[in-house]
Amino acid sequence: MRSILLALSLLFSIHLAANDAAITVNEAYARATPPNAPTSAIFLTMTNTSEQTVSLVSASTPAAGRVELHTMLMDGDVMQMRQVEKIEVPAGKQVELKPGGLHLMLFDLASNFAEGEEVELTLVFSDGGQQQLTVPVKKVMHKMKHHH
Amino acid sequence: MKYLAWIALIIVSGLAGVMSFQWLSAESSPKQAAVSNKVIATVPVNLFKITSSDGRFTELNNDKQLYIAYFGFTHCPDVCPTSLAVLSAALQGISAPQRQQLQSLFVSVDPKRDDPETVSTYAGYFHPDIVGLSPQEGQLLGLTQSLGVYYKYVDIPDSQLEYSVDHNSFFYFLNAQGELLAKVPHTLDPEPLVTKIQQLLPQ
Ligand SMILES: [Cu+2]
Repeated sequence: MRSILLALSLLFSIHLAANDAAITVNEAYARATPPNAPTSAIFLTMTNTSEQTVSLVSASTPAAGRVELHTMLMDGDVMQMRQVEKIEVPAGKQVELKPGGLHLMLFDLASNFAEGEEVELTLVFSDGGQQQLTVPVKKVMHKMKHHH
Repeated sequence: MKYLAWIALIIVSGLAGVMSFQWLSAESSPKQAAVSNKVIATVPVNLFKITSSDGRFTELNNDKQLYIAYFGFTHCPDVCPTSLAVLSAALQGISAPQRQQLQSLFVSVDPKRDDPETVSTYAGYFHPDIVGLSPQEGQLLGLTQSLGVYYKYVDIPDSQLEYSVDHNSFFYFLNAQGELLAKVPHTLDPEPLVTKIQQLLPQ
């Protein structure tokens, strides 16, 4: 039994290694939150360097009880937030999770997210690949300041 | 009797809301959109009699020349914090005397989850000048209808959120008389807000 498990986990880790390159994750950050905030969000950019569509299917972090995949839709000027099952990244394409669009939504925060802290994040993809990231906590305006 | 007055208020403000909505739709023709500083709608000042948990706001008051109201909810992980961060950046981009004449309000459209303390802490985090308000449902209805604020509760099955609040995202510029002078749409750039403040509060 143990050897089967060992063989399985070995297979699995080879599989992981082989798929590591399918999606590259860049510019990930978690949103800093007010004290006692009920939620936070993580934004990032995924690039698919493989030849098939790969989807992000789930995410988790020890910093939150639950992570959901969400999108923001616009109906005229009405913002509608909805949960999605997966976030597809077509072959050779880039998908951005950013304010006003797709995001990872975090519930049951262990504590508020202060700027300068870091959050561990695990991403699970449709091809069985997983990625572990350390994500900095930033204020939402951190990017815009460079524009001016 | 008190209830009757409330109902009347709600009906009147509802009508005002419908009328102002039509007004706004009519106004969006490019010819008229260029005209600024005219009154788009008037909110009965009673509707703004809301005491914040920190007591910093009780009603529209002549101590302030200009009010910026933004409607949202604290469970909103994206649009509301972004808007409040943009507002905060705009407040940092104006002069101290202008800041003194200006009161920013974050008004919750989710009174079920947002008690006054929650909204207060939430709003103050983005900028100490932003006061958080959680009006009671009747007052909220009157306020949103007279300003043309859209919000709708939508169940999100299987989500821990349980329900979300679809809402439009505008910054409403009012004076102490409850006159709506301008509305600035959702923006990721503080510049349109700064421009509008400069226009309505010339130093
Ligand atoms: Cu969300």
